[in-house]
Amino acid sequence: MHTSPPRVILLHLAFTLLIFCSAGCDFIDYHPYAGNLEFKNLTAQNVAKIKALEEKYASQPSFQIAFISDTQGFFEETADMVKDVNRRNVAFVLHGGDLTNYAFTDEFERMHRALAKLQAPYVTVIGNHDCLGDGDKIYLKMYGPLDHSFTFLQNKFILLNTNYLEFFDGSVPDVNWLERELQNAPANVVNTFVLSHIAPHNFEANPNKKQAVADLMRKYDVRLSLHGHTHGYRDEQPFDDGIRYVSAASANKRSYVLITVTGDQATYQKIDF
Amino acid sequence: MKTPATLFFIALSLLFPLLTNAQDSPVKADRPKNSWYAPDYVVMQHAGLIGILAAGVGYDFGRHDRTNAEFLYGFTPNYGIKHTNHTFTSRIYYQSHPKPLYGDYKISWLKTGLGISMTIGGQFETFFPKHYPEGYYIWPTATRLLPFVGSSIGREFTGKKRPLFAEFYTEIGTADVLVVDKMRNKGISVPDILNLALGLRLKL
Repeated sequence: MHTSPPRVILLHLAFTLLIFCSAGCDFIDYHPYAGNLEFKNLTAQNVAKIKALEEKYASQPSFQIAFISDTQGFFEETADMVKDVNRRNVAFVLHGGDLTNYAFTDEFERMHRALAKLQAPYVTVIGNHDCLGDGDKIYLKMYGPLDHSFTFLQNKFILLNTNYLEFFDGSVPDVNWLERELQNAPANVVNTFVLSHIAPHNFEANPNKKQAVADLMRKYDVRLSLHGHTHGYRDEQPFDDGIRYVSAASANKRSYVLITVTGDQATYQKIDF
Repeated sequence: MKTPATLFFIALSLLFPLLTNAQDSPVKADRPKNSWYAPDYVVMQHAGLIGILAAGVGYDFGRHDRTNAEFLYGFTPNYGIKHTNHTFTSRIYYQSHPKPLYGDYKISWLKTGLGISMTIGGQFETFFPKHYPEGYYIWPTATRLLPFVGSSIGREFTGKKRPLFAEFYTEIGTADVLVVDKMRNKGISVPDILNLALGLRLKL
């Protein structure tokens, strides 16, 4: 009985591949920050799905948004949160950043697989952990621009990168871009929401731009300023100017925020799951 | 001045290798060594968090040369979205004694060890700069500890032609922080944190 030599090696390889493929076949990792991404342009795809819902919601008096944040590594709780959100009739989901702990490619992809179980489309803003290593470049390709905006009916959503310490050159947050976005809102917009990972009054935000951001929020009468990062639910009015700053808890605290938009009003409540 | 007892032990010790050779062949004999500084083999690896392709040199030492130390350089392409990553890795591992498999081929059922990788580039931190609050980030992004287990199939070549032996291996590995995250959260499965590497060792 003679077995040709390469066959021995092929059998060995096939056996190892078999073990791995039974576990999902996602087993070759070149580097923690490898750029060979499975998913690309998720923000544009999900915004397109949200825009497609406008027709359905145009005739309804109100709609709801689930605002979740800081799901980094909390896969068990995120799965429960996704189930809870799916039980409600939300138009879409906003994610306040920190999808990952270390911004590894594999972490981004596993978190997307968990969030893709949401029945509603989700849109994210980048968190400080997502910027680590090559994370900001992975995020840019996998999700989209770090500063971006979209409209839904008479509402504008502005998503702003506020991870000042990771881009430590003073350029973050881009206040000029924020002002242009606030200024250039379509005429029919009655509510503006600004979503950023780190709130301007947080001690880890850019101290040189704290007042500029707060002034813009007041000047353009932003309906809600939405944040993550602190891992706890917060409902604050830090600048005493009538503008509310609402922070969603991290997924492991087993709560998120449900926002109801009716005309030019937005109400919100903490949902425990 | 030799007593019968010492003569007996000398005779036994001379005979012992012959006796064991009869059952176990000369495979457990250490290979002839190169100069102490010259590498014992070259190694190439695909994946395993140290590059799409990593290559380097290795030394074997210890009892029957079953302990190995390797130094590899690996690169990961930029895929048009970032810089190419350059990773330098040191690995140390133990490999079980090769057992006959088919013909001249032998299998080492177990190899297990630890690598430490360092990816260079300004975007990767070994120690986080002072502008971050104390404890803001704990784990470096430049350096990873990479434990692994694997097995290998190889053969020696007779004669003076190089390579003197060739070996193909597969390894299942993970990384320090992935293990920490898995222990912290039940939603992370074991396969989630594992990865597969393939490699080739050649003694020149």
